[in-house]
Amino acid sequence: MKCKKCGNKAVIKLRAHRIALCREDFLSFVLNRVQQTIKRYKLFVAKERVVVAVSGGKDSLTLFDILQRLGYPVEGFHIDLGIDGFSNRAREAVEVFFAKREAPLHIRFLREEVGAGMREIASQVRRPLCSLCGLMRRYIMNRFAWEKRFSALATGHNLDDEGAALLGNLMRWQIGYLARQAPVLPAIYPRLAKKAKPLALLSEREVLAYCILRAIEYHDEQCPYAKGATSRSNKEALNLLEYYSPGSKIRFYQEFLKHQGIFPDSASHDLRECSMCGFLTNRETCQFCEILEQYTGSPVPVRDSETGKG
Amino acid sequence: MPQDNLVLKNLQKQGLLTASKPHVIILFMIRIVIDGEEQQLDTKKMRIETLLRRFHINPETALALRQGELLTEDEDLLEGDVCIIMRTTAEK
Repeated sequence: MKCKKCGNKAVIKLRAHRIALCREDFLSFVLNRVQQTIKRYKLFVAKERVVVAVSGGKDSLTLFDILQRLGYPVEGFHIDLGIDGFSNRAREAVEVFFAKREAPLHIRFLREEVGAGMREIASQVRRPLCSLCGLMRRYIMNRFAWEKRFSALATGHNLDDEGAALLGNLMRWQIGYLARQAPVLPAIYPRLAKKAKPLALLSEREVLAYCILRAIEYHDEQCPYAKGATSRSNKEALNLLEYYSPGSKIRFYQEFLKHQGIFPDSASHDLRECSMCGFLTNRETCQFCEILEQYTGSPVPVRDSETGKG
Repeated sequence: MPQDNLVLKNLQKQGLLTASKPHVIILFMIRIVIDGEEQQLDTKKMRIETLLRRFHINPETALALRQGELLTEDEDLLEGDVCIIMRTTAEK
């Protein structure tokens, strides 16, 4: 198979785009795709301070690599979740990656933030571990981005992630989530950095191919608590459609974005500051503070981000 | 460093190359290991496309590597080749 652009030997066939590409042209294709996503959806501009949330997996490390190559002044942020063994190996992969690039990296330890690892918290709080983990990570990332005055928080969500989330939200008709699912979530509140997903138009296979071709050593280990996640079956379903009808995933997502306005975003109108930590919530107390309260058994004094006082 | 070695080294280091973590298929043209189980493949030549179909792997969810190079689905594997099929997400 020949590269459609230069005629050299192709290394990958992209059926959704009806092209096969050689190594160099595929790497350029990926960079262009991400740059287009950033511009089309106004994720951020070159002057903005962007922090990339890095788990150590292929998506987040690939995202950092791409943004750096595109010339954005990015920094990395990793949360050590305190899951025995797994978290250590993830953190090591991140540290090696950033050391090689001499790029700025910030690490927060869940044990230092809240006094316990994810498993210990989950054992005390009545909530599924994955949901708990997602909630706590989002909170810590948002808070970090605010404390360090980053204007955008970029995550490695790819097209498969976005498609699976969209399918899940449609299956349950979660109108609020449908209204807010996008490659960029604007900073609707002073203490909140905007969220950006620059890989939203790249499939998981394209991201993996980029990672392999760049020899990025990522943490390729599944979280021990992630078995049976619904998102995986949604991804499988979409990839089956993609197999029979190439381009289905990208059409599904992009057409949704075009028509997203039909879903009313009522949740954004009810937002207020958490009575304990001051962060954005639609309740009296945010879920993060509620969880900490459940875990410790007493109200948790949360330090003020601006003054640093406890 | 050849990519196959890099990937294998990573997998072994992380304890992923075991029967209980079926994430990768290693194919020797005579001896193959699929999702942690070794099998014999009685052929001297096989197209990647055919290989994926035979093992019910959706090509949208996998990539094939030989000696560090990505292979397109029309490539033939020959006797003595070592091919790694990497899935985009863990199988189970």
